[in-house]
Amino acid sequence: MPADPVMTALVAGQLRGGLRLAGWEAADLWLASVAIGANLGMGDIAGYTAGRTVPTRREYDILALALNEQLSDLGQDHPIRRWDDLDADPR
Amino acid sequence: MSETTLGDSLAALTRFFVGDGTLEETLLRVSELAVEAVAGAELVGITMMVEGRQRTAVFTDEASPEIDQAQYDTGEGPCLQAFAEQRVFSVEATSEDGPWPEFRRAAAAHGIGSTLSLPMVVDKRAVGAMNFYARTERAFPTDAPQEGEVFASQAAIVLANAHAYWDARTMSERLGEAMKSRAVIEQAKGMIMAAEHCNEDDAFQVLVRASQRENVKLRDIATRIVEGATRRKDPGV
Repeated sequence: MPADPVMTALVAGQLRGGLRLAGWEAADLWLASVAIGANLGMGDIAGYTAGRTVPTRREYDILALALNEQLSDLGQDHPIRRWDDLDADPR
Repeated sequence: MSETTLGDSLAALTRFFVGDGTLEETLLRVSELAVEAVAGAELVGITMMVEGRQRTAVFTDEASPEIDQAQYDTGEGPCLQAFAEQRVFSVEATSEDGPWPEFRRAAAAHGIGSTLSLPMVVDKRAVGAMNFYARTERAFPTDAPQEGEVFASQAAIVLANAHAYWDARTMSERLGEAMKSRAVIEQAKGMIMAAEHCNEDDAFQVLVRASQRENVKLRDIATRIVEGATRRKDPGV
């Protein structure tokens, strides 16, 4: 089934924004997500952030969790939405 | 220039194993060999990209970064131009008028009479530039640019290899840490699956909810669960 283009764009936007806020490269997110259980290649993250591919719900939620853990260390209150909240109104 | 000196320096570069020292030690050794390789050179600084900005990453004398600062402040100078255009640039006499007046003034103020700037190119891409300094005017012989380029191209490969080696080594160390964290989380998930008779995804969600509820990292929640189970099993500890 082809990926939902709206969901693909929402995911890409959240991940790109998270990387920017965290001051991370894709490799940093990859390492942090592997550390908490992701089964992804580094190239997958580049595909998600570019909007070329879309992760599964589980993969995305792990990436969001990894970003939020880092952003929490930087004093932010979990700004990256979970999958179920992606199409909610902007915060 | 003595061919033996250039040859010796090149031979020293080819024997160089980038993992023998830290990246900083490699850079310093390359710069020391550079001074030996280029006739007339007394000091050298190597300009590289550091955190997205051009900086004198390594030098054999404190004067070198101080002189180079004039290039970074004004955005122009022979080393920056060598880096950008992948060509050799020189200042035969810093006391004479010519291009890069701020750089000439800074160099002269540090007792430098002439300079030679060489690009460091790997696979047609500039990875840095070497700025050689001499205290006398017209110190570099006419063949110094050509022979210096031979050394600079070999040095560029050593530096590129050193960066690649240390990037890979750092990544390997970070991956090792990530796998330790992952192992603890996997153990905690297994315990939750056994206790709650649930599948792996549900066990992971239990951890995630606990992490969010307590505002504690997933790894720390997992560690707590695993250590708690270990203590219960071995009350003597």
